[in-house]
Amino acid sequence: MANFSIVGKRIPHRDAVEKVKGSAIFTSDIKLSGMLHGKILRSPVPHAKIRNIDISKAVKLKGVKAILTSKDVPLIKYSISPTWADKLILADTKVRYIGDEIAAVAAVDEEIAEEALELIEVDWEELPAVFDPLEAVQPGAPRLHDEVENNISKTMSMECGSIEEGFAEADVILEDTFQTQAQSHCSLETHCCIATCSPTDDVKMWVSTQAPHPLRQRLAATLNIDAAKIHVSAPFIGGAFGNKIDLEPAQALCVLLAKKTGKPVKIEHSRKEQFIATRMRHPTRCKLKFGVKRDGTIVAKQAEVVLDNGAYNSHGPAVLAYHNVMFSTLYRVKNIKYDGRLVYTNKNWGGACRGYGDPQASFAQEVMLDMIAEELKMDPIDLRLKNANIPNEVTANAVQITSCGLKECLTQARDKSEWTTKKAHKQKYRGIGVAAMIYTGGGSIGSGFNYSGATLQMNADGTFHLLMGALDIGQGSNTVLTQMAAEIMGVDPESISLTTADTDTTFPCMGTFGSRVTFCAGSAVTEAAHGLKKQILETGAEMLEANIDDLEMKEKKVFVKGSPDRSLSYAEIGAASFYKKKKPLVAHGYYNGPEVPPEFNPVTYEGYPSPALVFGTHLAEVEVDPATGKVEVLNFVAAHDLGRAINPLLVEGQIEGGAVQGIGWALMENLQFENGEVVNPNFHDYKMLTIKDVPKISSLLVETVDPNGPFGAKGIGECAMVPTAPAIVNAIYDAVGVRIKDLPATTEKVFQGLKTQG
Amino acid sequence: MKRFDYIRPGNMADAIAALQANDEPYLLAGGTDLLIGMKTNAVKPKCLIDLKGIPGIDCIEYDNGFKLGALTTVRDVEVSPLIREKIPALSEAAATLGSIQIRNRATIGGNLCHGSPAADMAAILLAMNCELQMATGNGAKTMGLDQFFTGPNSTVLNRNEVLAQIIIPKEIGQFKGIYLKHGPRKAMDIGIVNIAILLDADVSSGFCNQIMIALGAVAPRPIRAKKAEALLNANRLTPELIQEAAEAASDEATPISDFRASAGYRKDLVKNLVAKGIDQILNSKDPS
Amino acid sequence: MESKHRIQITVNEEEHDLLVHPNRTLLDLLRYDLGLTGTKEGCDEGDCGACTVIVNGKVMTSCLVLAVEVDGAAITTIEGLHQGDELHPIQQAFVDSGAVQCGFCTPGMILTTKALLDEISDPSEDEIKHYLEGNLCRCTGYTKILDAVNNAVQLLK
Repeated sequence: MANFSIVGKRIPHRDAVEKVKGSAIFTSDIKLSGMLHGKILRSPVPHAKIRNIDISKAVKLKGVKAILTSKDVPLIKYSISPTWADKLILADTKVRYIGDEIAAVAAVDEEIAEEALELIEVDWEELPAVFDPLEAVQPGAPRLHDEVENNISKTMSMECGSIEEGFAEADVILEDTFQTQAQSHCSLETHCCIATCSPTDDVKMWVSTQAPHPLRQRLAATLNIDAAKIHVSAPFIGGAFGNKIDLEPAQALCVLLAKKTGKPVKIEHSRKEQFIATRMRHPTRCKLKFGVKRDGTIVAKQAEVVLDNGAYNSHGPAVLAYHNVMFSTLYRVKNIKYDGRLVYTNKNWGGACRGYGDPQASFAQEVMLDMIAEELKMDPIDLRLKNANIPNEVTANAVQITSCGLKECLTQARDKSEWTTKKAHKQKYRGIGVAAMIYTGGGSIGSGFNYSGATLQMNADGTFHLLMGALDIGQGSNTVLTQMAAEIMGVDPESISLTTADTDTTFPCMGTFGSRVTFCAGSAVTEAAHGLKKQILETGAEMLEANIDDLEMKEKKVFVKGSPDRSLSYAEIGAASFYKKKKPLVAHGYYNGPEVPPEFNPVTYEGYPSPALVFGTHLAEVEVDPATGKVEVLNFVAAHDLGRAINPLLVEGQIEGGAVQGIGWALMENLQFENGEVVNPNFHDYKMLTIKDVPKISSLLVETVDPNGPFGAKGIGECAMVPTAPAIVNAIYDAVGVRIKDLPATTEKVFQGLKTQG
Repeated sequence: MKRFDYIRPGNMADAIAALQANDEPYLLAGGTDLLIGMKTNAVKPKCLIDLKGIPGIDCIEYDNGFKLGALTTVRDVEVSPLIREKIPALSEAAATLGSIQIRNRATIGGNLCHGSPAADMAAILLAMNCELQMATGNGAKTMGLDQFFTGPNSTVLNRNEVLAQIIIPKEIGQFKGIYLKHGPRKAMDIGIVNIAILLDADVSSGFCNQIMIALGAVAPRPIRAKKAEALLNANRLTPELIQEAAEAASDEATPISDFRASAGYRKDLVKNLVAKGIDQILNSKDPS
Repeated sequence: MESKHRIQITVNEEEHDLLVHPNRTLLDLLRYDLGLTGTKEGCDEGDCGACTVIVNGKVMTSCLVLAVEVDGAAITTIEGLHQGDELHPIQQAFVDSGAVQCGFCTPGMILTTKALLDEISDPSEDEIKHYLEGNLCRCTGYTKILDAVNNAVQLLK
């Protein structure tokens, strides 16, 4: 194995010092002179026609500087893709959920802006609403979007092999239905943006986003402004988890308010707005049918899936595709059938949320596998090993797998957790459960785009500056990517200065999502670094009058091998490049991959083009209190195949955080609706886990060294919460025989299960 | 938050005068419930009267029984060495309220006067048979805590009355107590069910001299499970009798179903936690 | 009616004489009047701990404190812990332990830890968890935050 001096080291976050001092600037910390405060009027009803909006009283309020209604804004629908565009930044004739944007106010302070909202009078014609996706598809159900029949935004059907023949081959067939609930991202920083806009539409925006470059494109399209005139810059981001990828109506409205007033405008969501009117994890209902042989071979699997879209699309269609891909690609199964529907309802809308449909698919499939193991009287880990994916295989749905450490994850997690001993010596009310996962470790080029760019330049003093579109939202990419560049350049990563997350100065990057930054931006950074290294050596060869093949780079010097006296420092080379040769050394790297294989079917997502797939196993040990149904997670082991850990300290941080988010979703996190209204839009009733609720997470890093990943690395960010919930739920079953099929596994559900047992 | 006037009287008489002199006045103690209500526009005071300027209103006095000033913070109740020694169940209940940041602000009186059926201080103090001393426009007045709550978020307090002191009777020191709170998390929760039990029993024989059982979050106000208490008082605590009493307590609960839990589950929890609580007291090693 | 009140407070050992409306929270006063933006607003309802500051030695969620209530108080915010470039040992421990990801909960987490270690110099794991129960973190899963507190204890010895 290669020996690295910086890659693989436990280096703390390079931004941490600023963050612990409180000097790291987040968007909401920025105050511009003359800045106004924007607020948004949102629909209080789930479904209604807007007859009239009367702003006459509000405009008269002292301190109010501008009010926008749909008459004042471009009526251009948007989504993450033009194909699915269905959302206006301000509702024109109709609102479709409680929280829909109706009007926007800019005032001299927040208090006045809020008071102005109270003075806007809206004349409604309330419409019947539908909240359950199964009711929404029935004939005669209220229709959300005139052009969408039966409220079905998208269907996805796929069959690989022959499902009929598969089931005919099976010794045992099991069927069941699994449901998952809405989860809120709960980044501690809410959405916030500040915009300025000149009379000629030159826009500058500071914004909490995961994707500055796509945001620029979407702002341009929605506001009818040339993208080149929009400059998006992301300060420090206080967490995101998928919720800050989309265009937010607030961002577009912020620009329009700035334009109308000629002043900088800031819009910051309250926590309640964050809960009721920003995206959430799609609730799902998944009916599964599995056919297996007595020896555990899965010969057929079938899924009928309904994704509750909420009122608008956002990422919904792509989340449905991922639900299919991840369900279908995990395990070596020849015959697969998938039928999915994405259904509109009058509720807050789903979006990208850590795992992108995969945690939902994983929950259904991995609980089903536990039920199969029981039926076959087989060890659940052995069952998974029997069907596990292997390196370099092509799956039934035509997905090419390169590196794959699923079996290693399963066996290492088994050993670490003392699974075998604990299974053999079961204690009352205690149980242990397992679940496995697959996900992408580098986004996907299914949409045609999976790009990340980087530029590395040598400064005149021999130091380096790295510019990249990718941004650090807390996961640590600034640290990891500079480690990669530093490894190649032979310098301390801290010495490389950085420009990131700025559309005017960096090559575009799709953004920080899809567990793609380490792989994609890492590929761009390493390409740029190798390119710059070559230029440095070429310059050194010329200056030292040596053959380039005889040169080495070490300790910030270029020297002739075997003759350390014939050397040039980086500083000498940097200075020469600027002042003598007048040709500064700079290299670019740009990734947009992988090549789309001919097998890729954009309708069914067969041949899903991921640069690298990642695998993992979670093992949970729980204890159930029979008096209350309360589940305590005692031990937790998470094994992840991540290619190579560029920075194990940061990787562990991703795994620990993901697992805890997964435990929360498994046991209690639930954005609850009553008649379309969120009834728990705060942190006391929406239950994020506290420090008292979490077990110690043991992380196992399985390094399979991917052939295509930078230094062999693959992504990890989202993966760490994918198999958590089924591992917990399977452990509850092992503990007390209560099988939870609809999340979350609340104390009440577990208790009722125990009570039913008698 | 909407605008309001702020007054910080230096003595109780001025506080009562300010209550009577101002439009829509609210008393401000720790503010941990009130300010949230104001931020969400659930309450709209025109004037806040901050009681924290009144000398001595946040004192813990011990003379066999306890006298707790209404503005004693919940954190002070939690960490008071005297309370931990003499009536540790009160300290344990206090430790379950909110976070340390909240407990440093929230006051024992404020927690009672907010009138939440789930208030952590209410159930435990109700089980402790405590009395309240109110300052009024016409002098001091005393009443049992069991007379204080009238329904969700409402109490008997009149416009010219201020809760000044909570008095815990001397004899409570001879009881062993426990506070059980059920919520999804281990911290930061509003209880789905809160149970407070004070028991004076002969450990060797299991004979119950006296028991007090209070239930929170299962009725419009915190209540005492009187029927359950009657079954246990002056009886030997057999497993069967404990079970019978636990069921009686469950029958006395009249919870609602909401998004936090169903009524049926709450009633089941009352039964199981009352039994569990009595068992835990009987099996606890160090007497309290 | 609704007139401003004069308050005098000491923040990070610097004295301030201010006129505030009663509805100004301590959080907004620190962030917007004094420019101390290290104190973060996560929920504005006292549920997340991001706005934690130390008031007369006690941690409080500054979103639930009115500025007029703290007249005369001594307040420590995150900006008051380090001396120039030299980090406080707790800050250093958070950096070294990987306890910082997005950093939004970090100032509150560190200040709560400060109050904890001022009160209990060598806390047990249960005592740490009890003290930090009101500081929510969505990124780390808390494992490395516990590590950081334990490492800070060692650094402070």
